[in-house]
Amino acid sequence: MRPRILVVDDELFIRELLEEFLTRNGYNVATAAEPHEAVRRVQVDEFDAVLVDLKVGGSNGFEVVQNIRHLSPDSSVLPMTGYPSVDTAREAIRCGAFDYIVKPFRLNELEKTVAAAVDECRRRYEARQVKERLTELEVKIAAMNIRESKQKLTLKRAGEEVNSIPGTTDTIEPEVESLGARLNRSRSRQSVSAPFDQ
Amino acid sequence: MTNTRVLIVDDELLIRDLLYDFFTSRELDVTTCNDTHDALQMLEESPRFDVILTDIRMEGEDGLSLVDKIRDVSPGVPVVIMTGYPSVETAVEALRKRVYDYVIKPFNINRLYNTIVAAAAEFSPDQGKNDKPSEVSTEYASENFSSR
Repeated sequence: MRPRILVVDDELFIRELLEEFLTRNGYNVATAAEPHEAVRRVQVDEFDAVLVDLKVGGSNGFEVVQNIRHLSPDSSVLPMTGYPSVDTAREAIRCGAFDYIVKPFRLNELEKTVAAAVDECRRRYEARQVKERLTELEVKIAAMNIRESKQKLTLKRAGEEVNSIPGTTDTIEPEVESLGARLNRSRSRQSVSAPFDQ
Repeated sequence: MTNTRVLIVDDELLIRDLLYDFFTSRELDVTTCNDTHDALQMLEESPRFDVILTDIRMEGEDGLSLVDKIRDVSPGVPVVIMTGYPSVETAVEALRKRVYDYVIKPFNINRLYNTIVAAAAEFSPDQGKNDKPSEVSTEYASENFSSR
């Protein structure tokens, strides 16, 4: 499936340039000229990465960044600015942005950053799915253990010899181990990101 | 319950002592060291810190290079960067290294304390940097404390 990218910028030229370039490079691109339009798009569609100009529509772009992080926590958010400053870079750290893109940029370098942002989004999605499945299995194992204990107690009271109850947690444990290994592999890839040369 | 364990890396004795006294008085378990070499040695001996606070400019290796090595030894532990020489370049480098915050000296020590506590509260072996909530942490100001 083609990675989905949202470009949020009030400059038509930038929107068209990024849409054309990223589409040519295999991405599925949507654009928004206004913050509320960006938020609406994120509410109805899923995006792997969102590029947001920090001065979009004359507003504080970090409000858009925070809204997107809230609505779509797996999406990687990439603030863009033509006026780089320490303050906005710090704000980007605090918002959990994936990178900080300074305009003017080189398109090939931007593409590398977008590709890394997409990978990061998919890694987060996979890690979340694995964690959710692990939680489900842990609950199932706990329930099975309780049932097994009850069965053993019943058998013991009836004076029967008890070793193990067939069909209990043995069937689930291999999946738990495999999911745990996937989660660890996913975490080991977490800190790798392609730098965006300014 | 154990106290939050903080490792402070700064080559300025004044900063180390001040942060040690203040954080200890707020019941944090504080370890200090004056360069990245000692910091790594401490992490290898006892990697169980909840937060690492490091200066950027120090003799020898800088604090940003230390972040990569921290990731190898203690993956997931939040790192707070502090600097008296802020720049877009170092802030962006810090962002790419997924630091928890980038604090400019002189800073408000109460706010720094709040940041350390918030970073520690967020950290657990099951949580990565990108689970960070979208809430923006407090701004720093020089009202209480000046270091440079």
